[in-house]
Amino acid sequence: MMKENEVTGRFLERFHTNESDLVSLVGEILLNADDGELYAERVESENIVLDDRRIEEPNFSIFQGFGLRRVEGLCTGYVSSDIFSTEEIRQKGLDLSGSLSGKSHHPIMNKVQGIPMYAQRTALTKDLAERIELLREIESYIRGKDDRVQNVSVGLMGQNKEVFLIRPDGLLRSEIRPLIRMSISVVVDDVGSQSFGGRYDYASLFDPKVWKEYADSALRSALLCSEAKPCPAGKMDVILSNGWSGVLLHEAFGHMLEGDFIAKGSSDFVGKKGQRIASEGVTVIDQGNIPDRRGSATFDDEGTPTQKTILVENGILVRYMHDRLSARILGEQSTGNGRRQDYMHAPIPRMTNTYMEAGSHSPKDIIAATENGIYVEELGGGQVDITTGQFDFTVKLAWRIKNGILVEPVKGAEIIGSGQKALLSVDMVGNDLSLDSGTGTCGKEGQSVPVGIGQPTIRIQKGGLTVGGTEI
Amino acid sequence: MKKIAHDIFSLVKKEGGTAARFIFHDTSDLEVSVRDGGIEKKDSGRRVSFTITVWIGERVAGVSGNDISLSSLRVLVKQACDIARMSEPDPYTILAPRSMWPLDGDSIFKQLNLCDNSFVPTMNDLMKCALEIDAENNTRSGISTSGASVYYRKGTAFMITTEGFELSSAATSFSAFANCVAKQGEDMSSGDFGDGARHFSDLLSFEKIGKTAGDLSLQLIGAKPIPTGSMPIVLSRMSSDSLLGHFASAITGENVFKKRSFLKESLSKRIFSSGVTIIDDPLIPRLLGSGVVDSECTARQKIMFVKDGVLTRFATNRESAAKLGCSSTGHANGFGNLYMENGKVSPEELMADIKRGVYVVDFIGHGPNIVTGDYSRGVRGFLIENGKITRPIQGVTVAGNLSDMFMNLSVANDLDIGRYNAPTIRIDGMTIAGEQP
Repeated sequence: MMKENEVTGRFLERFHTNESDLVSLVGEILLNADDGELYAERVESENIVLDDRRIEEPNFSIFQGFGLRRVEGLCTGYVSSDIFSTEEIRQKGLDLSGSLSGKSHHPIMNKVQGIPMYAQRTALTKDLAERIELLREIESYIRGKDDRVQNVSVGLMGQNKEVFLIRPDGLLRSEIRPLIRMSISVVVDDVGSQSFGGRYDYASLFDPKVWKEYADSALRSALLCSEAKPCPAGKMDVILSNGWSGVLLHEAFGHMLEGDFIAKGSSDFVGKKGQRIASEGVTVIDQGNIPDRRGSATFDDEGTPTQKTILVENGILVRYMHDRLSARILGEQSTGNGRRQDYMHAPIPRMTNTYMEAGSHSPKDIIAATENGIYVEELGGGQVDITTGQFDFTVKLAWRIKNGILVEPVKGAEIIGSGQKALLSVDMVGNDLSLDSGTGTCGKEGQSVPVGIGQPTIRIQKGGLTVGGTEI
Repeated sequence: MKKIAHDIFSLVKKEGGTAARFIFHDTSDLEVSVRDGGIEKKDSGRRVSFTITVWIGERVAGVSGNDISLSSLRVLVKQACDIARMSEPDPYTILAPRSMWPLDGDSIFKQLNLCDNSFVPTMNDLMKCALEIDAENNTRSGISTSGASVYYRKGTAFMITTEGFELSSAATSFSAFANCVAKQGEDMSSGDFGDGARHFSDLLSFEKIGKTAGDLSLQLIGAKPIPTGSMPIVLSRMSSDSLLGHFASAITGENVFKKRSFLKESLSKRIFSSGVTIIDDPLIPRLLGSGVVDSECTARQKIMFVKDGVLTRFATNRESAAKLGCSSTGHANGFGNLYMENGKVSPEELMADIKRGVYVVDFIGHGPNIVTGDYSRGVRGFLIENGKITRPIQGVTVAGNLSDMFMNLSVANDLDIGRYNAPTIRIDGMTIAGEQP
């Protein structure tokens, strides 16, 4: 495994300096600030796409730079640059100081180290020829399975992100974060897509047992969507399948528990700690230290080790998710949720891997107990208005349920509701918790970060959600 | 920069490359956010980035980065050539021949007037602007928290190819946003509004930006569902250009030849109600969407995509044009200023005879399915009763199919190109899901 100090050494070399000089430079720049750090990164990515039987322009990139943050009171000053030198740090530091006013001292950072989250030191383990061969193999496998297939597209992305941060109190963290993702999309009359990956190298994706499962599932989804009927509209019982459907939990619930929205008073969950915000059986967790997951890191982008945070326990709101700033404003501890897209952005509270704990019902029993409703097999993306808690999700593929039986596939629906009302209406929680296949990206304030989501099969009883479809 | 480009091109040649393109961007940003009358965030950054595309015969690869030192370029150019060599022949990724280049790119660019040299703001200038916006709402009764942000960006771009194409350009942009939360008892609602422009003097007044966001949050408070049913919807100018976005993605050549568009068979057919005209004009001075060429060196031009309801062309780059048997329309980087021409009636007249309908402020959730045209979205907005807006609504989705929606739409006369690229639009026969009927 890559030693942390090897990565540190590389950054110090890039800045042409040594640790103690850099610590004192950062200390000088952040003198009298309430918080702040120097964050630097270098990202190597490669990407190929096979689409319409053709390998599209393969590419490779290296981007690097640093950002300096100085926090005073409620105000954050941030400067970034792509030039690695101590002179540049000093220059940017001058831009930063004097831009704010106020005096305080540095809170000392807890020096507990996180548990390293990745076994691999690099994601980029296969050359282009091998990757092209794999994409070709997947394409011909899918085209060979069904002659109604009109197009197949397969993409493969790999990335190594080296991060390095140093605080004025001398705390230093560094690591390499590998990330890979494959996506498969099949066009019949409609499209079926699957994607998967995580924080490891390419090896597991090259296993036919792995990619065939996702290829089969993308094809199945394309075929079902192509014959699916319009979705009924109105209020009815809605069952959400396990895994990816956790995206609803993430959007409709998770964002409203992020500390910045709480501190600003713009979330519907302000002041509701200790209150019931979901049904009895609902426990929601954010956990940044699950090995190999897309939303995991050894430490967050402020240097706080990631952790397991119980947000909601048996329906009662117990904690918010914090970065250092929102924690300080609200007099709580950072939960290791301070994340940033890249060196050009200051960290803000973000989810890592967010999921609902398993309950006791088997998924079969949940369907059998439902008289009239839909079973959502594949949920698309969604959005939430954190102030009202109103959310809106696309249903990619669902089944109509009549008298406990899945009768026909339906599509083209939207489910809307409010996060709190929906989770207060969860009346059955399945025993089949699973995390998604490693594909989620969350956007907030113009910053995208990889996240994990998950849940067991759950039922939201009639009235908790509105299904928007075209059939009245 | 030219010197660097020539260094790169000679490295490419040495590595066996037969053609190359170098695109370089240098951007400086300033950003200030305020909340409840105090400074929340000040952010400044300068970033460069470049992309080098290398051809070895018909094999192509791209590399990008932000370290322009010769040693870094050397590594990346070698990597590009290695990747290209390992890749498969690709006869479609090609640059435009000289005959498709703009005649005099530099002077056309100058006429576009995309760079505001009259006002180069400092952080303090932006701070004053943001505080001015927020002042509209900061002490307004009924508003529990308010914020504003102002951004300034200045960017230069340079594109050069081994075939002799060369263009450098500089542009500025300003944007300003306000957001508010209104609170009344347990009820909360948010209101957002913003504007963007190439020239500072083209921005809406800060008073207007702040006030509009504040008004919205106050008007939307106390929203309630409405019963499920079929009724007309009216898309305000804040939401109507989303239909242009769906149209744009459905006529993008790549989606057409990859069978990912519900309009793939619609060329020369009627797809909108009669009278509807849609134009893309990337050559309008001072607008955010304006520009001279696309990244394949094809000159961009004014094109009418829908004439009296009929789809006249797809929007193509070199590849999709070759596959669809036409010539590139210069859309390798998307659309410029795509707009829908005015109709004949005022927005008030457009909705005057609606007994019961939905007035859309904005949509929430992801877009429609462009492959099938299936459309279903959550709405924030108001109820229309007897031609007038009466109360805010929530928990409502509107659904239909884009093909039917396009055929059933009628258009008001309040187009404001660059700010609102579509007028107010009315669509009849939408399915509204809310409470059980």
